[in-house]
Amino acid sequence: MSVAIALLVVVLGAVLTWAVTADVVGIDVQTVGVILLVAGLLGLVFALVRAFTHESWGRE
Amino acid sequence: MTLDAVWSRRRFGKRILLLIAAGVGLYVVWPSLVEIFSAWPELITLEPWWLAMTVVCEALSFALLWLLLELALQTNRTLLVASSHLASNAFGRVMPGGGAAGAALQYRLLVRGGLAPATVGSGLAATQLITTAVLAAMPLLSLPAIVGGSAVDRGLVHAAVIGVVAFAVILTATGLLLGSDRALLAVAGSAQWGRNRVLRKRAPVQDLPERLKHQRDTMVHTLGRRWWLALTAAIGKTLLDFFALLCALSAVGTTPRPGLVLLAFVTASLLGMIPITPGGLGFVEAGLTGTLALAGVAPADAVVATLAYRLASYWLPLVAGAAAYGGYSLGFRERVAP
Repeated sequence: MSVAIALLVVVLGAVLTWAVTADVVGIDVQTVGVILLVAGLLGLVFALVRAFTHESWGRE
Repeated sequence: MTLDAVWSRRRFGKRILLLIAAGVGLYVVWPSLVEIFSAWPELITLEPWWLAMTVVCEALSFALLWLLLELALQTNRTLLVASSHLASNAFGRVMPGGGAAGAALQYRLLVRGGLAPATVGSGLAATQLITTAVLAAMPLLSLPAIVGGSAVDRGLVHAAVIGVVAFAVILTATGLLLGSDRALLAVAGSAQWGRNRVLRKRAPVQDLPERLKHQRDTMVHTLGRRWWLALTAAIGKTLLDFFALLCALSAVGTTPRPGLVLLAFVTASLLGMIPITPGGLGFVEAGLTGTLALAGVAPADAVVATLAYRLASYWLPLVAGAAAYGGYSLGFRERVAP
């Protein structure tokens, strides 16, 4: 998961958690949001570790 | 009296003035600070899950800033970038008028760590410019809530307008300075003229326009290939800082409209830039508590949420900064810049 995709999942989770007030039958929108938020944050951790250890944008 | 003695007296006088300003500032905001810190015992009544999420969001916000710094500084040395940032960030938050002092320390630590001075100068300037522009653009996300006609406090609308105007100014100025050699040389020439007029007893600077043009070209070349990642990191850094505040509000058990909390967040971030007290201490707490109340949060909840947010965004980074400076001192001995 790249940094951009992980952030996208975090934002989607945040919108569902805090911004959506609609009720969908059979689905707890806020719980789905929290799950996406946590998944996105975990993905961001992995993406950042990968960026810091494998990517090369230095001159050294 | 020698020239060194005159400068040392001037520096001493400047520090005394900053200390007096910090003292007066703290005196003004002292009642708000006392009110907020008296809510300290209530932290244990918060949802621990959301409190942990507040800290995680803030930590990832810092990590994204390090990614942006690595891109701007053209280096892969994450330990050097992270430790110098944490140490200078903490230093800037305990010194009156600390923003400039923190930036100067970060520059010194990075150069002492072995990075080229010109790259460090232009990289830090680029990072500051990008993060400030993104913060100023954040109120744009609140426009739907304002334009939608729902009741929004006038103070928060003012914050949104200030943010949008600041964003437009930064965007225009950045576009001009990046795209036009004439504009850059004119601005740098004026700055050089002003500097030489004010500091007449110091050796005059002659090559500032050429140096700035060279640094700008280096920065554009570096970020040009990775501009999308730099922009993503800058946006992500600010968003996660904002999500940390939303997590703190959820930890308290309140769920105000995120669009209005965003305006409160931007207002508090701008207050944090006012260099009266160290790190905006007191001003941010008072401003955030007040603007959260304007956003519809109950005053008591706003106080506890502000305390939880500042614990993650101000107090924990102070501790991390002290540890990082120790780690820097052990890990990076004096090096010669390439």
